Amino acid sequence: MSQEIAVKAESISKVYKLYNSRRSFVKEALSLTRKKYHKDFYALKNISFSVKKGEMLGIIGQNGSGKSTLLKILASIVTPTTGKHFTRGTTRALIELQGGFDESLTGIENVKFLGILQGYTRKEMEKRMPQILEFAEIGDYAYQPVKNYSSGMNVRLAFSIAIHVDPEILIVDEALAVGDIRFQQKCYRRINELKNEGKTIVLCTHGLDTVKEFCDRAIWLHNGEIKETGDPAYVTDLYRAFMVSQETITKKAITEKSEKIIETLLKNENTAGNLDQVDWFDISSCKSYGNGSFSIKTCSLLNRETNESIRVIRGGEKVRILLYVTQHKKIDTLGISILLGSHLGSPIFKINSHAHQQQIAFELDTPSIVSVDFTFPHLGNGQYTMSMGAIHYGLDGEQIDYWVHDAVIINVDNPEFKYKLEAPLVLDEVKMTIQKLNI
Amino acid sequence: MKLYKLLKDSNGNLKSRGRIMKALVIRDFETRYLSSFLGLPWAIIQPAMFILVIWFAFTYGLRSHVLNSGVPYAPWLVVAYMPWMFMSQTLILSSTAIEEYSYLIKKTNFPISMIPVIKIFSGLVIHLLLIVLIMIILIFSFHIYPTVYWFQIFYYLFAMTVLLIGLTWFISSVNVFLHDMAHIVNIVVTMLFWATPIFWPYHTLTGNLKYIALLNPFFYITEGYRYTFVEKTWFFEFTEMNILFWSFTSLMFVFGAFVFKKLEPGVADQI
Repeated sequence: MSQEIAVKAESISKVYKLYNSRRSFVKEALSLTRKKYHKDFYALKNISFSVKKGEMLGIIGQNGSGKSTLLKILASIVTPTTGKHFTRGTTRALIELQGGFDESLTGIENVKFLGILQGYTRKEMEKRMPQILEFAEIGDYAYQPVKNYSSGMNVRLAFSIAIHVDPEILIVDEALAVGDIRFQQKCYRRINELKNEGKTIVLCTHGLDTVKEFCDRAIWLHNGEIKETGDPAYVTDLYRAFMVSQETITKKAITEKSEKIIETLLKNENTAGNLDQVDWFDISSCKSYGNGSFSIKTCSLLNRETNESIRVIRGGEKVRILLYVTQHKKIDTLGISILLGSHLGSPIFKINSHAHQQQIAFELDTPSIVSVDFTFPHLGNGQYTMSMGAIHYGLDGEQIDYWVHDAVIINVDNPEFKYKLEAPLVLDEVKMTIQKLNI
Repeated sequence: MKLYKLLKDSNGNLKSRGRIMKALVIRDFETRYLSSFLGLPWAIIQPAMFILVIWFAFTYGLRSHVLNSGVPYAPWLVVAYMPWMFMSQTLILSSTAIEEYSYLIKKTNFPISMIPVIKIFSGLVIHLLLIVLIMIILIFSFHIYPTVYWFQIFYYLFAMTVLLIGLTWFISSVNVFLHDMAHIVNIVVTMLFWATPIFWPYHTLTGNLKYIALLNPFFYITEGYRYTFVEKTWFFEFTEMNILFWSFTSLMFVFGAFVFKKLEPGVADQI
């Protein structure tokens, strides 16, 4: 790998002026005074980095963290408010799924048109056409207007053009997520080939495994700033941990309100241990609904043996879930329900105080902490979400009084499961034998 | 050695720029006219119909209305109306031109300043076809034969392009931020049509109004077409007119370029 720098960003910032209305925009444009009629929104704050020739950089971060804006700046589509950047070599960018297609033109016409915009002649593009179409695998759709394409076909063609016009620098923005698994794999193989050919690649994706596997370096953007940069494995792990715990609110916020309860909890035999170590999840931003008779303010997940908060579960641990709840209206037979769902939302298991014949009595308008103890089952590695709420049984069966969707994200990561199992449940003991048949 | 490299580089760049421009003009022309079933004829039919109506009305209906200069009214009107049609259409179309190309601006590093120029050139294609058509009509139905003055058309095409580039840079970039621009342009164009001596002769104006008309750059062009095709006058015969037009046009060009450069960095964020 040569030491020549291919992409460089020097203290780039991007400020978007947010106006309340069009009127305030005009007012500011026409006003002679320096009065501001807008709010500044920093999409990027003082970003500096450089990518060496032949290096592959992965950019990760939450939605709205500034990834796309950064890539658009690198591709010279958007002008940064302050700061400088340069790219050395021909650059091809694939931004937000589409490669700048004219919807009314056919796929082939678009390929030619975009090729010419990139500085190729019509003849050169015609020579590349078979390769481009072969890679895109869109068949006869190449002769159809792009407006009739599915989003997958759109990406296939756009990506195919991008890699066949010999860019020295390729900028790819989450585009591949739309393609099916086969195409994605093909693209990554191709990206890897390009990398081996010495091309510089800047990739922005939510696929952390991709970053881990292909990239030489990773940058984690958070609220427009570089939160971490360096070895992809290291950065993605930090990011993953961050995403799981989101923003944990300190125990302080709780204890101020309910010091007494925590104190009694501490004294209580069942919950004995150091509750100082407990991190509480901020679930205020989670989607919740209810009839006002019950509320869950926060919750926590701990290992019952060590009494420490956990984010990553191997399976088989004795865990405890703490719920900070208040009942506001009198309802008989009120119980707690917890649902663990896969990352796609399908239920894996459910805990229900009625079904498990656990009686808990709440005191009206008195905050209390409910602790739910159980042994976490062995599940396939991946992300799971935990939803929780309060239910009671009325005449029509189960009634939900309060429910928080996806309050906690749980990462199940057991290094012993080397291969990914597509099913959620992992069996404890599986033995296989083989017997030769003498026929 | 270094200089040679520089020359080669810039040359290559210029070449590909030209190629891009050509492709874009063709593309713009296609979307404007060739998307319909009949295609290109539509581009000609509309203005041709207008010219035909004028010709019919003034040749047969209103009985050869002849101006002081001895030129029949119909060809006199048509040759001035032709550049007006091109200029007004270009101004109106260019006001929303940048938005039209948002699919390229938002996804590729596209030279935005080219867009208004594309609009001018793609309109110019039709305009040139019309000029040829008018020449044929002039020769065969009005018996106005080519003179050396006809070569002036190249000068007026150039003047018109410079004027339009400045104006469209200004209009198109402002419209990205203030959509009111397109409406304003529509109204101003309609007003200018009646304010410019196109349908009526310039000499009907009296006093200060004459000077106001001279300030109108569109008048310079429409009148210039008359000089070229029917009035046998050289463009340099009226010094005052030239000074006024070229000062306005060069100022507009600089101003348009200034406004465009100022607004360009924000365009991709706004559309």
